Amino acid sequence: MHRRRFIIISGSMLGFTLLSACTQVATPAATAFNLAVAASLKDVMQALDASFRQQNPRPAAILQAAGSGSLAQQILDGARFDVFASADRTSMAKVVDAKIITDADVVTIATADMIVVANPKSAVTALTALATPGTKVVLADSTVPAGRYAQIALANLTALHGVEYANQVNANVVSLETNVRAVLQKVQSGEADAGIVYTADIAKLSDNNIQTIPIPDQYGVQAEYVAAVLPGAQTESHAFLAFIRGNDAQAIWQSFGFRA
Amino acid sequence: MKHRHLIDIVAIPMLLLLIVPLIGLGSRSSLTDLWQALASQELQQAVTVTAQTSIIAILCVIIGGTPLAVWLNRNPLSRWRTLLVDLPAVLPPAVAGLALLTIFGRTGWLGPTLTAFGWQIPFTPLAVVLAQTFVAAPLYIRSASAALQGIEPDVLNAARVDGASRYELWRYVIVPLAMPGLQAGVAMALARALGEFGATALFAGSMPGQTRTLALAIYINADYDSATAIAMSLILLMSAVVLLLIVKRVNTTT
Repeated sequence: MHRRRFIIISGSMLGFTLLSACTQVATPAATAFNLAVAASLKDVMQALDASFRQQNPRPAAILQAAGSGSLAQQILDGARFDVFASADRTSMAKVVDAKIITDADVVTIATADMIVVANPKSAVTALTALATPGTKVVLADSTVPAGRYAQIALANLTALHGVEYANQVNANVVSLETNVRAVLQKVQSGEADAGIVYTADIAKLSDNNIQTIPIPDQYGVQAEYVAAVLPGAQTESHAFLAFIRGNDAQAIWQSFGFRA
Repeated sequence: MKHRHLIDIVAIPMLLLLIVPLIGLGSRSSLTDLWQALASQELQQAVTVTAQTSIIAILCVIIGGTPLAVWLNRNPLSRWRTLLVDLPAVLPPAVAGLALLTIFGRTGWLGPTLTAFGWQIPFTPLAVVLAQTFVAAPLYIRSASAALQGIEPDVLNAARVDGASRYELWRYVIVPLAMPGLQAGVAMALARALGEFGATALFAGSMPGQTRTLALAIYINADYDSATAIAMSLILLMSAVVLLLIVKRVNTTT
């Protein structure tokens, strides 16, 4: 009895596998892009790919969204992608240093600003409040780009709020998160009062669990997103990269909180 | 004999899958990397946090888990025991973290009360202890419950007939007989607590010297400085091996 059930289950599993293999073979000649993108670029890349596909019909891109550092490591370990889009130059430099691509292949695709987010129930309404003793501040760890940018912004802001500002804010830090999304989550949930994230992280937020305090441009810091077509990529990858840097893509970038 | 050969062959792929990645970890690290990682303040802090929190957590598990194991064995609810006890163990760790936040978080059920007393549990070492206890206790309870249930009722009755008091019964009969199971449970729970990651990340955050455990330090270094991450992994792996060897020793000597 059990044996028969086992055969039926494994048989149908095999059937499904074969079936899905067949449907993949039956897709049109143009194949989907295989994109390695920084976690913060996932949504905008999906939208850019959808827009590109209106003129160039093909299946929706397969996105591998993760930390830029680990994507770079995957590429070094032999993973195959058409395009790599990184949230910082450091991760891209790993791929250049490994001689997989050259500096000339690397292009800037967008920038994003850092912004202070605060829970509406907290007392934080201005940048100075980050330095008030007792404020619970969450930042990204300095091992990830968002954490490094946050520290640069804090250092810049000492010119506005006094030399001790950055130290005072850092003394209020209760957690250094592994990624910028975790920073946002802790502020949204109210466990932390305030944090520093990318403008792109909050552009599409629809809830009122968050209030934003912009950092004035002259003290702010711009995160630079860079991309490159990788060796062995589909020829059309270059057209895609040109498209996301072009005029038609500007509005999409902006709606996701980036500057194109 | 023929079957023996077949099983040798079909057993190998899984054996390799389980063992080879661990050997790979060792091969990627050099002694200098290991030494550098050992000397780093980051690792020392992470080891201290992990050791302190997981030892307190394991004490909570023993003190709170043993009575629960006894109670579950006696209670008619025990039909549901496996469900009750195994559920936290099979939950994705992130779910465990969210669940703890709904109770102990600032906006959780107990949040307002705790805040009134000026306490906040998230972002403190106490949150790490709670997370570890939550995920590790089921392993201990399961093992302890099985060990206690395995004791022959005849043995207990014989001891009672011989005039053993309730204390003596526990002290000289039940606990010694259940000891291998209890010890195995402690070791498994401790190993689980040492490696706790998801619930801690969500519930306790990641502050060096406060809440950043070895598992969190490994994750945060994995992208950035994989030599340190691998060295840290080896340290965690070695402590797990030591714990498992203790379990094995306990199980074979009794």
